[in-house]
Amino acid sequence: MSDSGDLTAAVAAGVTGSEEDYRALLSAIVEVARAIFGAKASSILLLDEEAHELAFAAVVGEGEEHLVGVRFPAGTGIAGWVLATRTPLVIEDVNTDPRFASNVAEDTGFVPKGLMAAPLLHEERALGVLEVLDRPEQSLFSLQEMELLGMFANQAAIAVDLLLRARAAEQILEHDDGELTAVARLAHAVAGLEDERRRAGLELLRNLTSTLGPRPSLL
Amino acid sequence: MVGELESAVAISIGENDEVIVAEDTEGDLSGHGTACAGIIRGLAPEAKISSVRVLEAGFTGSGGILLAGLRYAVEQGFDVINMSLSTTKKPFAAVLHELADSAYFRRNVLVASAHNMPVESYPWRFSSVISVGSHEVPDPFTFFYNPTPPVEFFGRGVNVRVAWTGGRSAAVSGNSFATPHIAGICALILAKHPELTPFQLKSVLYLTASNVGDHT
Repeated sequence: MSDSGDLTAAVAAGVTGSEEDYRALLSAIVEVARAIFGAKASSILLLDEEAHELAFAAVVGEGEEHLVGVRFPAGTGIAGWVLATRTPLVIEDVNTDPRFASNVAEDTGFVPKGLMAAPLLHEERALGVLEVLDRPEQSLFSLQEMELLGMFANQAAIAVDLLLRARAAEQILEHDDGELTAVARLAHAVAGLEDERRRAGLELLRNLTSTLGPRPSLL
Repeated sequence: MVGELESAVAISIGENDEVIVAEDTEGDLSGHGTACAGIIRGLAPEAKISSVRVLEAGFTGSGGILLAGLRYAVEQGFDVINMSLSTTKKPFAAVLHELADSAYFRRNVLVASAHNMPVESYPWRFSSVISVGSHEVPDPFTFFYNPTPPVEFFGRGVNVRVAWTGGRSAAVSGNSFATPHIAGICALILAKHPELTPFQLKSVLYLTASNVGDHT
């Protein structure tokens, strides 16, 4: 028998959005992030805790065709740094000191032209990283933009948390032997009803709940 | 661009959860330590700088390595400990709090980055550390006292030219870079007045802040 958390998740999965909806939500987040900062590209990387990897979950701008799904070790790169330190970071105008020019060729690390990155934090969990790449070169970064980045990342983190919960609920259903799927289907069916049929359906459920619920005391 | 380090160790957790402190042979993997050390070197050129690396490939800020690194730094008795990072893991908060307090009593000044996002994180929220947010005045020695804590001071943290890995430099922004500015200023004050306790040092920072008293 599944525990009540799984049952709740199953009901949630029965009435929440589809995978297409989740992708659309993530795409909307990166689109807005790019627009706010007038940047060329933006992406969301989600943390796979078990694999200790970050994966591109949504990309707008350069790389949007091939980056989604690409993974790399979570502790590496600017995104890994932001995730590990839990602090937003902006890096721009990377220059090479001529004294060290020979070292740079050996350096295989990602060299962004300009990059803003903020951790997606929800309660005590780090869910991933929001990146905004290549702001307009003519404008100096400001404290106001830094605060805006933090605020927007916070809003994005709330959306990503809801999305991850819904995905987790669906995964529970996928591995279920039928019990939870039945509950999810019921929730989905009721959610799809309208007007009189909906009222009738809910009344039926109330009666069912009363029948299945604890028997009243005989006192 | 940072100059010679006094020492460099890497912290890791072994298979049996034991803490491993080893000489750091890999160096800076992300650029974080290089940038912060460079800022401190710029403000306090004669400071002896030691590196305690708690970031490694695969590390996602679980907190255990962070705690072990801070414990090592406190045991070593460093005068100023720069922490341009925080953890959001509540289970670590209590131990981190004890460590921050013991650093305070042992005169190891802990300078920690504040969060400008609405999440609970540590150790910057503890009153035994010096917590740092950012201002955008392009002067490394300008810092402000904040009369509305928990953030206590604002250091230079916007468009800061810093040393980067591979001999590069970059213009960076974030509280991560405001923190070593205050850490460097703390090192300068302690160099001249090594007898100061962290409480007295905070008082000196308050009295010399750009927005306190008459600076005309």
